[in-house]
Amino acid sequence: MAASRDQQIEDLFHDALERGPHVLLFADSAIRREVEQLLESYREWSAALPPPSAALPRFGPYQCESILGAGGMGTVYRAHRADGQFQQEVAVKVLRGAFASEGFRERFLNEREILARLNHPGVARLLDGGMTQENQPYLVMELVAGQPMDEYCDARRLDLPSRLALFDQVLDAVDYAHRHLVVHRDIKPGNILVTGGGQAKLLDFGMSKTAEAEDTNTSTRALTPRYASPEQLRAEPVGVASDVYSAAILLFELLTGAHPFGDSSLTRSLEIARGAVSAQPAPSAASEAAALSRGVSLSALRHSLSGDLDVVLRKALEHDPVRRYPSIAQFRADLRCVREGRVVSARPASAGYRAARFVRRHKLPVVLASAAAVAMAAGLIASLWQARIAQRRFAEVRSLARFVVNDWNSELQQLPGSTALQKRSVEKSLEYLDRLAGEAAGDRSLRLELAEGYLRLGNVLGNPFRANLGERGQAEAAYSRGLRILEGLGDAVPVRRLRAELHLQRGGVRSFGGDTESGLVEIRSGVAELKNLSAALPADSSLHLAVALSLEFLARRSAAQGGLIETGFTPAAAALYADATREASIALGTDAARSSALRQLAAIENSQAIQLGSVQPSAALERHRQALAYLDRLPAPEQLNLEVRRLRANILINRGFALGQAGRHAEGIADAQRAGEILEAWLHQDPGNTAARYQLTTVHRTIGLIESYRRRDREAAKAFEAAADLHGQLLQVDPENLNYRYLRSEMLVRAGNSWAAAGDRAGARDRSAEGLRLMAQLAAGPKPNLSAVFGACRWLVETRVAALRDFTRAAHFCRQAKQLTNHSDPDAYAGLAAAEFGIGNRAAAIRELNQAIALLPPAEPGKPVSQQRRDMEAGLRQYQRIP
Amino acid sequence: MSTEGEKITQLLEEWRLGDQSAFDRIAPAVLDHLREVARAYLTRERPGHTLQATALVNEVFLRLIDSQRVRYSSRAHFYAFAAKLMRRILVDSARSGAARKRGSSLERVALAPELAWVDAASEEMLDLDLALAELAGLDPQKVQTLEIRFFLGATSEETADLTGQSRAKVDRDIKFALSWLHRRLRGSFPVKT
Repeated sequence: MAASRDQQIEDLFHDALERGPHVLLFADSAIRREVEQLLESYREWSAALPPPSAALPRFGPYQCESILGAGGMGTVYRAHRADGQFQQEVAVKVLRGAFASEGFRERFLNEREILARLNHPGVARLLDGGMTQENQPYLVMELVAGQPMDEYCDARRLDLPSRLALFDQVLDAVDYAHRHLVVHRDIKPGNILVTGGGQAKLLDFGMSKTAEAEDTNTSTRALTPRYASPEQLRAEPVGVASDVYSAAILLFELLTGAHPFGDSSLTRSLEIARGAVSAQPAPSAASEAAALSRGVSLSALRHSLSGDLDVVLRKALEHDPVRRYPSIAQFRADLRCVREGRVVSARPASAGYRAARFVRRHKLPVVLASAAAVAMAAGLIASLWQARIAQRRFAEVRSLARFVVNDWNSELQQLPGSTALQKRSVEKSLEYLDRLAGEAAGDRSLRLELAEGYLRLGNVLGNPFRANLGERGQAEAAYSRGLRILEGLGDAVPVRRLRAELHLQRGGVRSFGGDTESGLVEIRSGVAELKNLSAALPADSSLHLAVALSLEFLARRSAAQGGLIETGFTPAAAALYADATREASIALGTDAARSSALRQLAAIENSQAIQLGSVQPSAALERHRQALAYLDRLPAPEQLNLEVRRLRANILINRGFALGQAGRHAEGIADAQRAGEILEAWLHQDPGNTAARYQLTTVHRTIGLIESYRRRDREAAKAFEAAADLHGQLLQVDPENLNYRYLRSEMLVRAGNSWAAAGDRAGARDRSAEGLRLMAQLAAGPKPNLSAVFGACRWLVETRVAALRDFTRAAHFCRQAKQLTNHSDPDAYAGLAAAEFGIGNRAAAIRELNQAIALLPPAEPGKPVSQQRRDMEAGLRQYQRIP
Repeated sequence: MSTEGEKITQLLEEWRLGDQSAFDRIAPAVLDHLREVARAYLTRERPGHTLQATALVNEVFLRLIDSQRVRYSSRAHFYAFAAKLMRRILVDSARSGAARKRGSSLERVALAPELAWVDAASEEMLDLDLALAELAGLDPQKVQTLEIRFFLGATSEETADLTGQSRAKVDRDIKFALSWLHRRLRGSFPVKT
């Protein structure tokens, strides 16, 4: 009692600090007085602390004064030299802690090297650089007092000739950098400051890379899509022509006030980069407002943008780098000719080339939102069909539909809140593909695309292991349709791979839905197919990853045996995991697949940790640590990726559970709560996402379990009820899902027990009765769900509502559980022991429990004993004590 | 083969396993080294600086480990020990005749900004020691966290690392424990007996 009072005081103290003193309103008055005194003490000692503003850092002799900006790379401070040597204002750029991954750090050091070599009035000077004690690199640069280039021009209402003259300065600086083998790679208005004296200065060579050290590993690029060249967006090697392109976009904007391709969204830029659409700069985009701020009439502005200037810009904005100006110097020379009225080197594209353009530019729809890409496909099909230009158009439409189904949908998957949109886009595109398939029966590659479309549609519709819409039946049908389309397509690699993938996913959906056996058979066949393929093509790292993924999936689904209750870490599962880890590690060695390999290795560790969680908590904790360590090795931008966040939440939930099992209750709950925050944020963005909602149920379940371990029954009951409510919501979307139904019943029973422990009899009776009724229904059905059988075996004994206890029925379900798990599951024996004991068969109870304990993995010396073993050993003592 | 080193290792192990008297038996062996540290700390000449206790303790102990081949079973264990020893030295010093009286108006010595309300070079250190003992009766883990954080001068992150707790947990515990101690020692309200 005394301990819980102290705990209450401590909790209230923190609550009041975090949420405000109102939390004390309903506290017991003696407790409240103590907390108030503690709070007063807190205010006294903390008031004497130095204000946090004094915390601006100092780097070597440079004391920071204020923050100039914080970007993707880090923070830039205004600072001064504080060692009294001389007075100098500088800008200090330092890598932000959380982004201090190896890749970023390398780039940062790279920038220091590069800048040290550049000395030009148009490039911000590097003055100094060093490392902090925490090994954070920092750069000290000339403090440029100026305005971003576009703002500068508009604020002064510069006319076109003045803008061109200023732009010439920028090209001079970029050309200088190129001649020193440096490509800037991030030319944009914000990176060019113009001083009061009218000097343009190029900043931020963070993206730059010496042209001599060509490196194609660009997975950690942070770029600005609005100004990025198509080859940059395609993650291809980038040369000086990329800077030509970005500079030309900047110039176009400076001249017209608009983006050359009308729309600068990432989706649009990616379409251009993939060649899915063609776009030409349109000077007609210039607006009245733009003309006004350039001191000319709109028609005069448009006129001056046509002719040679238009020709030069088009050449600089060619999507294919080969067709662009090969150097900044040549681009600059032609712009000079324009300014001086001389003949330019660039030639207008031939009439034939223009006629062949995919869509004429004035007719190209402006794509504002990503969803509109679907509408665009529809419009194209209609007009092209009318035109009856069959074959070529057919190919183009198909490539667009394929783009929407495949590439574009992968992009969409990364966007929170996009599940419904994904479904719509895939369905629409499949409609087109289906129609095309009718026109071109016998086209094998088209059938392959169709099958792939169905795979994706299935995933979006109801794959329980991804973000999905919870329509399991429809998903299964989509996978089946995909498999049918593949029939008779032979044994080419892509066909086999797709077939394997469809089998894996359909097997997963089936096993998750409760049809365990056929699901597992199907998963195994998918694994076997992928293994054969990988054996034939050992150099393909994506196949190694696919095999690893399928093995992990198989291990997990076999252990789950149709439900979600893991039945332990069998040697067979351990072998599958080892196999999966080996396959994924092969891919880790290749640049292209490194990130995916890291994610997958984290997933494999996590999956093993789940299996180990209740039986060997300390082994599980090691797996969790390893899993999080893999995720931490991912480049910073990928840490924010949706699937990575989801995986992290998942690991945290599992670790919370393992910690709780190991008796580290508060830490366990803290982990679960962190996971809950990640998921709540996700659901907030994407309310229809059932995968996130499902994961959130496990957060509440975990919290409930740990609270009940530490005998905070009221909190436990509430957590279980929260989980049951969420299961209820999930069942509204997917009423047939046996797992949701079972889990809901279990949460209700547990809530009932916790209410009973907390002394709330009515609550206990209602929840328990409802939960046990649902559970027995599931366990006694024609195709009994294993989780439900286990549940009925356990909870008919362990319900705290005496009137609902039924030892005989419990014993029946426990025997069934033993059979269904091939007499290898300790929980089935322990359940039967409890039931026998309840009936009064003490000898049988002791026998069963001894067998259960013998089936547990041996306790690890020096490590905390698992809750499961502790429970069973306590049970055994109890059975033996009573005569 | 240093028999003294082995002895210290043995005693540390006993202390770790809960034998409080072992602490008193090891302390003399390492006390001289630490006294030097403490003296530098307590007779600090320039005001306005906080002592880098960790750095000094590290140096002394690392020298000790090297010279005597003491095997410390874990880093965390070693630092917990060092922190407790540092506390002991400060208390001994406060007990000696040289210590200032409570509430002296001379330049106060603070263990950390958070503990500025205790003059560590005065008899106030004795009061803090007693209050810590009282808190340890309720929650020994919080006291160990405090010792590492303030007597060793570790940062929150380092404390979290050494005690195997989360950073958030350390910060919360420190907030609460400091408030508890402040209330016990300085609270301007009747203290319950």
